[in-house]
Amino acid sequence: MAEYTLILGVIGSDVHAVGNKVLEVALEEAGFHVVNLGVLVSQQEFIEAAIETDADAILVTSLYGHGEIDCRGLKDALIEAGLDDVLLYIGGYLVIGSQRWEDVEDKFRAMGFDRVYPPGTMVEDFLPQLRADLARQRGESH
Amino acid sequence: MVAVDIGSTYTKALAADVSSGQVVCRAIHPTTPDDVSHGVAAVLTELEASIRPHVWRSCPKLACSSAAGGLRMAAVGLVPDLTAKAAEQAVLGAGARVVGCYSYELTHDDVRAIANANADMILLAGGTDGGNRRTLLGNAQILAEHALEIPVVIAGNRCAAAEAEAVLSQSYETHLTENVMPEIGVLNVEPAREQIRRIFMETIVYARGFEKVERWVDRLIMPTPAAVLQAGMVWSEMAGDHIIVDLGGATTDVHSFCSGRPQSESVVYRGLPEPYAKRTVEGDLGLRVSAQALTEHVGLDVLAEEANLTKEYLSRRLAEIHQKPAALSTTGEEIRLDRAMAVHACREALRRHAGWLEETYTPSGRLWLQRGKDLTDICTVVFTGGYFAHGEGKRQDMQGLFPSQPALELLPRDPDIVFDSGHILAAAGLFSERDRRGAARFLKRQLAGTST
Repeated sequence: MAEYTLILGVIGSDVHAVGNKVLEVALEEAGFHVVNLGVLVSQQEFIEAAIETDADAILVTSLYGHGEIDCRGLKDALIEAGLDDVLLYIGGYLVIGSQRWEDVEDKFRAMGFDRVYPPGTMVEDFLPQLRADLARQRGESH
Repeated sequence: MVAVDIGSTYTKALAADVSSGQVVCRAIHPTTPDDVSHGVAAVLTELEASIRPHVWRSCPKLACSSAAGGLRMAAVGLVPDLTAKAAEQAVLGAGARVVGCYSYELTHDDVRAIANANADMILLAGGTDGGNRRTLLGNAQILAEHALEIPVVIAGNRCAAAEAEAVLSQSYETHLTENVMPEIGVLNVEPAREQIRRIFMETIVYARGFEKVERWVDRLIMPTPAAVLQAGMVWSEMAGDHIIVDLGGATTDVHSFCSGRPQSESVVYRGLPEPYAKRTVEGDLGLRVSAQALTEHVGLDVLAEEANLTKEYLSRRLAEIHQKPAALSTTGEEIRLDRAMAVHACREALRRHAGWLEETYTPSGRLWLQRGKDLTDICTVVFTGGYFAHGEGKRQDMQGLFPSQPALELLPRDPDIVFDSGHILAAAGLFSERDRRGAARFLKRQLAGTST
């Protein structure tokens, strides 16, 4: 069985299924156990899946500009569920309009996300960070 | 073949010739709660008198039981909508009554509640394979501290199950089986169901002192609801997707046999997948023991008006039913009340069983979210239980339960109504254990011709 379990899903009323599938395949090829919840995933579904699978990280994507509303309170809910040490990543078209990426990143960092990725991020761009974060997290919790 | 159904009130037996699909003879006797074998002996002696001795000796005699509350089980899982729900489904599918369904970490009070509810067995689940271990192991530890002397079926995270068994095996009879939910979104209740049924047959029957029954029958095989479910499986192989509504005195069971997946591309399924054979049990819907609870649900005024009775009469009659739940209805008023209650119990049980749609708007347009099973394409609904066996079931009443237009509740649309007027479903389920094709013939012969 793979060393790390990742929860993957597109949050909110978002039906963009293609990128989600591409990520699933790429992450599985990279050796992770991927639990893909697909599209239209609620905060609660992310949390429940993370509990049952004892997940190491939750990878949220959002491609329709409502990410800020959909993700509000997610980190707090994870803390309530006893999942404060689960890594929380997000990527995609997170906001509407032409906001500066640095501002967007700050906003989502303040909401409790460990990593925030802009549109067009490739899997190989964030894999090294993901591996390093997972290794650090495991080192800390042992 | 001979089938005996040991109910909580009556012990019923029937002999059938499965090659022709005909019922040969029947017998009924009040259940003898102190030693159920007396009731069994009485019905079998009566049947024997009508059957040639050499046929009687060679014919298989099988029994099912719902006496003394049936098979009572506690289901334990982790997340309420995931492994706890899967565990509950496995328990219901094995024909058991759920005396408690627990999520997250068990407390000492929870375990005491399981003991006080006289559970016969516990199904312990939690965690996907390779997933959460802590809860399963922690719950095994808490259970071990109490030593309830009942079997525990372990159907949780494969990677922690053996360890949980080691913790429990000091104080419990343990049985290890496959995880009820090996992955998120994958339901695997069959192995746990089979294990529960095997333990019922090999252990629980003896723990209850029912083994004396085996002087009279070859085998006490399963809880009665499991026999009905089994009959439904045989019927579905022959006649396709369908529903069985089992209206009883204490509960109303609904069994559906269909995948129930979304039927249109604009519908997205949410939640745990549903088993092909799904059973739900409504403990507050019934014509006798649960008559009071049903009335509270419907409203005394509404029920009185529908049955054309005064509220005073209705209150008095409910008290009477409470006193003597086994008594049959004879007067016009009593029969009208049964009819109104039957309609409400079946309607509500079907609504709770069926899936439903929720509307949602996305930037790419309107979508529907489906939760539970889509039953709209089901063509046949079989109604069973004492009420229908006494010939009280009115076809137009039951047709009225189903919408003719698309609705958010995914109930069957204008299905054929079939009445199990011979009360043969449990018997057919028992027969199928020995002769599946014979049981199919028996079902076909007995149920055919009663549909609309």
